[in-house]
Amino acid sequence: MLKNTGFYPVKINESCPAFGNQDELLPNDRITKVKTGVKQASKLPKYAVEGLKGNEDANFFEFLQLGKIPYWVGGLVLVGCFAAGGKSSIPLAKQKAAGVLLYYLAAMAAKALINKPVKFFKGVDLNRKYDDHVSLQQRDEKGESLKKTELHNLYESIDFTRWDLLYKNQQAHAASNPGLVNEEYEDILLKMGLDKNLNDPDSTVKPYVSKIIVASRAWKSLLSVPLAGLAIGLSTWDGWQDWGDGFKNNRKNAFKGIKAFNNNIIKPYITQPLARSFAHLWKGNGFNNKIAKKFGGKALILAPLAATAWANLNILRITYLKEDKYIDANKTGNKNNLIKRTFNAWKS
Amino acid sequence: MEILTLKNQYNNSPAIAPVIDLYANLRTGNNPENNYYEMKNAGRNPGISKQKGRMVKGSLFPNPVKELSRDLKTFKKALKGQGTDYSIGKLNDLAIASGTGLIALTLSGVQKVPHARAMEFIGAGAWLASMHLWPKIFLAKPIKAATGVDLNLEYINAQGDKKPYWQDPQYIPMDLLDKQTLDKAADKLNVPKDMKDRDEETFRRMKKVATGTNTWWMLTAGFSTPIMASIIANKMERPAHYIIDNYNIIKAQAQLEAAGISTGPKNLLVKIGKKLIKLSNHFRPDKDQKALEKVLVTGNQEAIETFFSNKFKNTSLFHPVLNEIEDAFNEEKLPKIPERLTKAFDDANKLIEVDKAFNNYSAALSRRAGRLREYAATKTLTKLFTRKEIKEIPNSEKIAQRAIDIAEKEGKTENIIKMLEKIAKKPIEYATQVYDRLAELSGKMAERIETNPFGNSVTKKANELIQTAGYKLTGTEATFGRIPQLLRQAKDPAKHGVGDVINGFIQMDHAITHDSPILKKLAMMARSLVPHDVWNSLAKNPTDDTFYLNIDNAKEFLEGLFGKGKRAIGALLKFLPQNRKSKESMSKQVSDMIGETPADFLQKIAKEYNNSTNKWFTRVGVIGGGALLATSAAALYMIINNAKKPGKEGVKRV
Repeated sequence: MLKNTGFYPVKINESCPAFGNQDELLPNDRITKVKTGVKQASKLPKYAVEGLKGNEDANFFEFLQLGKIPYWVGGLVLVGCFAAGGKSSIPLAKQKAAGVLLYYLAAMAAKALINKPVKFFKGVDLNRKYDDHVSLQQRDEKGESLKKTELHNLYESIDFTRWDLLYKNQQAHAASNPGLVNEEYEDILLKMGLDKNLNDPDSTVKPYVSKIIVASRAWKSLLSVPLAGLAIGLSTWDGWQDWGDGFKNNRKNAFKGIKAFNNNIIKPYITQPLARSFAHLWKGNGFNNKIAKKFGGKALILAPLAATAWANLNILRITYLKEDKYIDANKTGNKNNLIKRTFNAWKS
Repeated sequence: MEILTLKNQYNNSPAIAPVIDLYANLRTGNNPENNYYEMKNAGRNPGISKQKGRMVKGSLFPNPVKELSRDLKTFKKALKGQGTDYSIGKLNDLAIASGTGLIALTLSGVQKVPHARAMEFIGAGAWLASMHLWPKIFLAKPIKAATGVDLNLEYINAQGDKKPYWQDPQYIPMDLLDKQTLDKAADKLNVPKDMKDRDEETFRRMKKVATGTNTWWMLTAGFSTPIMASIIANKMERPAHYIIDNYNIIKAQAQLEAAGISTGPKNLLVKIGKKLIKLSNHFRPDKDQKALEKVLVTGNQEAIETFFSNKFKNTSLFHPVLNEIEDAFNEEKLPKIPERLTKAFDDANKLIEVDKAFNNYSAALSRRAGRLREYAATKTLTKLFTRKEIKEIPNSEKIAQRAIDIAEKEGKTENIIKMLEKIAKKPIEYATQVYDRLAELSGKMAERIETNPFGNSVTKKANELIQTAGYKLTGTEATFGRIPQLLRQAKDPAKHGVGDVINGFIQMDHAITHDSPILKKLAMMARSLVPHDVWNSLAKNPTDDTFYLNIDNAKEFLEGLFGKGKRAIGALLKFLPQNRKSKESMSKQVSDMIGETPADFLQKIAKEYNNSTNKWFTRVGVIGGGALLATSAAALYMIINNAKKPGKEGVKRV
């Protein structure tokens, strides 16, 4: 599909099919994100059916989307396997369920602990979405290819980042005022601490955003390790075995106001167990090894904090923008010099 | 002209050649857009843009060392913000593996026994293995056999990235498939022989199979991974026990060897262990001597006692050493006390290793013996009874009855006897071996430590352990040897009737067939205290002829036994339990002392069998695993059949 990869504004031509189904960047508010996320998730059954049929338009994106099923089902079935031993195994299964839930929370935290600071300090919203309109091999009666829409992350790819979507060249107000084409890049530039009145904010920003994408993805993977350790460490508190006891009674009184809800649901089932399991882990009472008793729990709690701090400092450091860092073209490597030389040779 | 020169100059350098081409094209008016990607590639991955992809055979499990070193390099680069989609994506695998490892480490940290600790790691390994095994064996192998599509195939692309061949249905490098594979698959997928573009059609059908199976993998992985991991871990319990037991035995043996007591024919591992222990002893700083001097200088009896008791805690030297201190303070005067206690410390210290090692060795051996007894009991129960029948915990009458029933029905008495004897052989042989070994070792040990003033207490403890091993041997023989033995004695069980056999049991069980009423009562008392009846006493309520000792009849009974006015009577009366409840706990204590009684033991095994494992395995293994396999078989069948259909008409492909 032809895409406008230039940074000059293009007139929108309704009759031209090439631009009729542009991929579109989605508004950056929470409601849209939830809405589109639900819409994307609701497509899973369709992906499954089409995939099983071996539809020729099934693609890797759909396969990866289906990967969410084992991720969520696996935890549930694991708890089920523990609960299958009969009544006597229910307390242990409860503890495992707490562990699985905490693990999911940890996995989410691993993403948020990188995404939020990056958005705050660098203005790059790694969670930004766009609708990808994919042309299918199947054709309609007129012979035109059918389309389907996929919800992608704008910064999901390192090799093929969709820089084009950040240019505002397809929007009406930019078409009338070419100066606004680089609006998005200028915003990032401002956040990164430079004056926005640069000649080429986009090419200044791109290498740094690329670095952010690489480092953030690597760190998100790595952060999930200590966070998983913390989650499971918290689940070793034996109090989880009584988790949910008395819920039936508490539920009756829970909906008589915010305070009642807090006292009957939030406190006994969420905050209190969490606080107690934290304290238990910090003291290291659950461990049987002398060294683990002394350091194990503290290490499990401090490691994710340290890793998060390191990750964010690292990302800030490698994307630190100084004026003398990008103005000197000679420092950017031999490749450019070679092109220059080639060009000079050609000119002469 | 300049361009030609440049081209000649740099032609061998693939990084530069495309750039020169680009400018040459610019100059000659060719459209530079055509070469845009080539130039981009030249910049990104100099030198390999012209390299072709190639097929590699996928491995079942990745090489962890290779993966780890590559991932560490990737991460190091990522810290600088360098990386590609492929290399950064690979970090996820590392995160999953190390996260699972950390989870296992954390969970094992809170487990109390070594076996449970090991099982956490086995569980984690089983989890990772199941993630690989389900798609690579359970899905891929039948698919390959039925259609010729090898889902484990991998290829290395022009950038040097290794990827699963069938991963992305929109970008499969068809040219890497050889003709032979295509032809084979074509035959299996019913592609007509005379078809035009036969290879293309085959590839289309293969892709259909691959897409379908990959989708089914994603739909089932959430079930297959936990279910398979649980089953694997469940099946690994026994081997794990075996390995841990063996490790403990070898460790204790090495400790004994290091303490200077030969344990017979030497295993290589024992030799290595001995060397290691000696080495670590050599480098261990000798803090004791200085600390002892410090304490002795104070002359404070309490402080000295605390020092000694800390040092000799949990050994058989504990009491004798404390006695020696008391004696020293009572008998000697101050200047001589330190001298005597230093000598006592040295003497006792020489024995501490031997004592600990012998205790460990005995514990390790009896643990293994206990395990073998457990297996044999489970086997006896499962061979003779159905699962439902084990729910009512069987006693010896039922076991004998069942054995006779089967023998009568099938006329194979000899077979039943042989089977039961075979089951009995292992635990009995091992228990005998344990007893013999301990006895032999204790003899050797006694010789070595004869001259040591504390030698006696160590030998005494060792003899106690040997006695326990003897009890256990008798118990094991009684538990497993008796039924086949009785069946053999009653040569024709059908004629003799069940009653005879059962009577035989009870007679054998009483062990004492003396006529003396007092002795008979003693036997009964022993039974009431320790239910040594092989399988029977468990289910039976106390009947009239069971004589229970209580505080009222005890004195009379003991006087009848020992004669009036003997000192032992008073001592024995102290131990008599006051009521039924404390009698039970007393009985349990004695059981613990002489080892598990067969009745307790059978009860435990049957209960365990009923409660947990069996039900669990039925639910997870049979129902869960069975449903998974059945639905997968159906799904794969449909996927394969669907792929064999010719393409829909009316759908034009681009």
